[in-house]
Amino acid sequence: MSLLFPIMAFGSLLVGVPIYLHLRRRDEKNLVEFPTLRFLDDQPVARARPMWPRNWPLMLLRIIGMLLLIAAFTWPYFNNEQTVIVEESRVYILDNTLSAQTRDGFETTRNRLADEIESSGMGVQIGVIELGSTARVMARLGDGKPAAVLAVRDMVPGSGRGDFVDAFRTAAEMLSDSLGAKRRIVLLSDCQANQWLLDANSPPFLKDIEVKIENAPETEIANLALSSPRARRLTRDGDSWVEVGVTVTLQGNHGPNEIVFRDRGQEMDRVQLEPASNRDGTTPGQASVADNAITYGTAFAQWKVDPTEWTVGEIILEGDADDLAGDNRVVFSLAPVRKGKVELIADSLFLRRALSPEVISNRWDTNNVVEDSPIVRTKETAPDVLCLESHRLQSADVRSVVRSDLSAGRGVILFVDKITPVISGFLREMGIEAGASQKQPAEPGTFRYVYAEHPIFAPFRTTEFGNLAEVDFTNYRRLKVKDATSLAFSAAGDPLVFEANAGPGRLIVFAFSFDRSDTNWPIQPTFIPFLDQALQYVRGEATTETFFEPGESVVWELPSGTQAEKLVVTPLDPSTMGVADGIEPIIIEVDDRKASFSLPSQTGHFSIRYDLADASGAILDVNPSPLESELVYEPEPRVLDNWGRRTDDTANELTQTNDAPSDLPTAIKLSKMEALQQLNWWYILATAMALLMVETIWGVHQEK
Amino acid sequence: MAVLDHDRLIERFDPKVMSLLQTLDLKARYLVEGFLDGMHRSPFHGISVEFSEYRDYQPGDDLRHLDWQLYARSNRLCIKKYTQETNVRVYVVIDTSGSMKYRGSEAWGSKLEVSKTLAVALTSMMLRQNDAVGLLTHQEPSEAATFIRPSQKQSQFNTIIQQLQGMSAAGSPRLSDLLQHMIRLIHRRSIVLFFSDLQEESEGITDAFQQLKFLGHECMIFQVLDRDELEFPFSQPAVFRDLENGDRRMIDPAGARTKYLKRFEAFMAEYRDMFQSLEMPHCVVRTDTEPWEALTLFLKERRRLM
Repeated sequence: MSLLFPIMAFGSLLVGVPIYLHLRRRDEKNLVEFPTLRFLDDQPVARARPMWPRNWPLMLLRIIGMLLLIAAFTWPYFNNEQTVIVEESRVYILDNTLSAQTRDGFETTRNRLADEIESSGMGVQIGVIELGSTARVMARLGDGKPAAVLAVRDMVPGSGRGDFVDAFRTAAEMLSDSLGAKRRIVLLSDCQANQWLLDANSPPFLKDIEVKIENAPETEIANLALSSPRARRLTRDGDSWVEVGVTVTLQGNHGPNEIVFRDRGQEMDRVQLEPASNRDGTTPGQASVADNAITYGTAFAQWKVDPTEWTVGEIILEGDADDLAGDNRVVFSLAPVRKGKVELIADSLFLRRALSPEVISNRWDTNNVVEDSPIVRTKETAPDVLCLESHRLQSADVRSVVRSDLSAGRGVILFVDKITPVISGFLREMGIEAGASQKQPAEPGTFRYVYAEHPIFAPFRTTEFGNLAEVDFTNYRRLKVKDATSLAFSAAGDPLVFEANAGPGRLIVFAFSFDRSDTNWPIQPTFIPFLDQALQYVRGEATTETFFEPGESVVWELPSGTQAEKLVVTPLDPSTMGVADGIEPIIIEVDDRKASFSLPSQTGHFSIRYDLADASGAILDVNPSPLESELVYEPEPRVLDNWGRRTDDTANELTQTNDAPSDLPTAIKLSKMEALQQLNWWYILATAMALLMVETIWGVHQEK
Repeated sequence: MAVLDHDRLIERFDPKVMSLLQTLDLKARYLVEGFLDGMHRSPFHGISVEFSEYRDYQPGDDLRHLDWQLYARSNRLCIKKYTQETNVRVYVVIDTSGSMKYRGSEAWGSKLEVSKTLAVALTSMMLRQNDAVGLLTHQEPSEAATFIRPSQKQSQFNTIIQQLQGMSAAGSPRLSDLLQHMIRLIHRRSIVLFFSDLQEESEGITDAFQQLKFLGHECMIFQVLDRDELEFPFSQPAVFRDLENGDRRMIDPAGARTKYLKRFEAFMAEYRDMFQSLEMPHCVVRTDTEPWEALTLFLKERRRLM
């Protein structure tokens, strides 16, 4: 510390303030200013000691309080005897995404960074940012080197995926409040090309900051990766099966490998992968799979399962080790089937067949209602879903049942095969306007636009469940949206599928019937899966996505019928369906039936339990991003120039890390923000304030 | 002739109202209008005008101005015409030494404030009579005296008010200096109105007043004093500090009062005798009571001098 600091000189002057105030208050109360004192000149002269303190403890309290205030505000300028001039402020960005683990690159880089920080000179301020799924500050510039080294050595490899721009922005923000003459960002990363892409056109934010990129990526990479696992249930010969698929991608060469499918830790299937050298002209990720004869592309396996149990499995790549082991395992899960009841008021033979016990018995119990038979609703007999064709709406009883089902929160699927004034009025009530006539395309039309994000269409985004584009429509009713959401349109632009907002229950309306006179959909492979999906949706099944990437933010909505105040997220051991070791449980408060949390940076299954229940309410499948398996590098990205980094010649020359401690006697080491974060500062300030408060109370008391 | 109704005048003055009035102008107006209102209707204008000629009576003329004696003599209705006098020059001299700062607990203003208010009130009255009014005072830290030449213009009132408003009491006794300035600056025979507490040794200023008398000036002394000075009503022992020289005395009023009052009375008697011997009107103005006596004295002396 030096008195040469202006703030110290100012602070010293402040010491005089309490003394002056005290002495001023010392003014005599019994002093009378009088004009004719000369007539009293024989009276004794009063002792003139007006500047003598009246209350020593009070004045000392005030002075101490003021000194502590000065000390608090000069705290950033205090330092130990080894205080040095900060010559450089440096922020390391350590890439801890999955791709950085290539050839154990992360551990090597982490250890090298720790050594480098330990050996760095006194004149270098160091901060560390870990780039996982998000940029996280591990060590601030004022934390000191031991803390930074400790934070770096404690880092564990992550499987997340993050973009460089976040880390660079965080680093620039740290450096904006730094004190070093030079400000520098050192990126320790494999510089995966696709990590530079996001926000490439960001406005410049690296003004006067040098950027150094270390860790030249490997050039000869061999990586076999699994990604995008998906599973679905099948019914075959009355049994419930599960079909699991996974995408296999390859970079470089690989030796003999096998893909192992496991369900609850038990191996269910094993598929051989031929060495890359045995396959000519095959593009990874584009070949098809047939009868378990695996080529690069997609691998499938099927096995019989109990539909009432969770299916929790993993797919593992075994064989010759490749350069990135983190993408050789993916996980999947399927929730147990909750059998539902569907009431069918339709004449369509295809619908009756599709919902017959032979076809869909393990998922739905169907009650066929023949025409003119009474419809009875009791708590026991009420179906989960009502499926009907519009011509049955001619009956007032049927219309009444539809309304009551929707009011009671039950689902309804309506196929509009006929339009009459009565039916038009009912549809209008549901938010859909019926046109005067039905439309007959000149030639069979197909789906043109589909709301692919909607749960009933989402499974059909890939062709593994069949291709909706193969569905033809020869006839449909012209309906218009009044107060509903259109989910699919014909090639002519007419809406074909709606979701109406008619009540608590969900209502899906099709502008056609499932008859061959209207469409060929009933003979398409997508028919049964789509029908099942639609029934599940209108029943109110939870539609929250359960596939995530490490570190991803999740907003979890409680399924209908579930009440919980807390959500507990734990890693799941598929073998025992219990809690796996290694990661602490995450407990989240539920607010408005929603809970927000961030997943850990590890992959695997995570169980969601409601209010510490034993059984899992849901299982999340956390798999690495397929982008992390694309090991293509961009070590000198031009995007850095867009971000405004310094481009002078010294930019790539790091300051020598073994600088000797400076002999300069004093320096500013802490920034104001860093000083404010120190507990001592607050202690001193609080003490000063407390003393001044005591002094004030005491002073007021004395005045009285 | 003005006839004072003292009871009515006292009703017209409230020290609290006086202390609440902020500007000199307002205070002076309150004082003058209260004073004039407290007089019986009288030919006030007559003291400063003189008869010049007759003219024939015309319907609408004030009957008071009819010369009834002429009517009796000649059976002719004539109105007397008057000419206003303009040859009286009045100087207001205000002492601004530190002792004039004093304001007792019962006073409606400090001694200086009372002096200024009276001065403005008199100025207003004199300017109404077309007398020429000037000002002489001294303001710290300037060494030179502030002097405003006499004028009978109505704008003189504002000039004097502006000067008085910025004036404050401070420093050592300076009445002798003011008198010396007076002797040097005033050459024509004039009326001089002194406002001071006269807190100086009388020997020093006796000569000056004698010189003024010798030069033919008519001096009126308004000695402004506070009740505390006149009665010394203090009861608690306290440290007293002199307003002019800063001397500090530990005073026990119970023991010192008698002696103080005795010495103060001697001081007052000395000045009284001096002004009596010089035939100068001397009026004690208390800061806690109505100042009618001072105004009456002025009017009386003004009439006498005419």
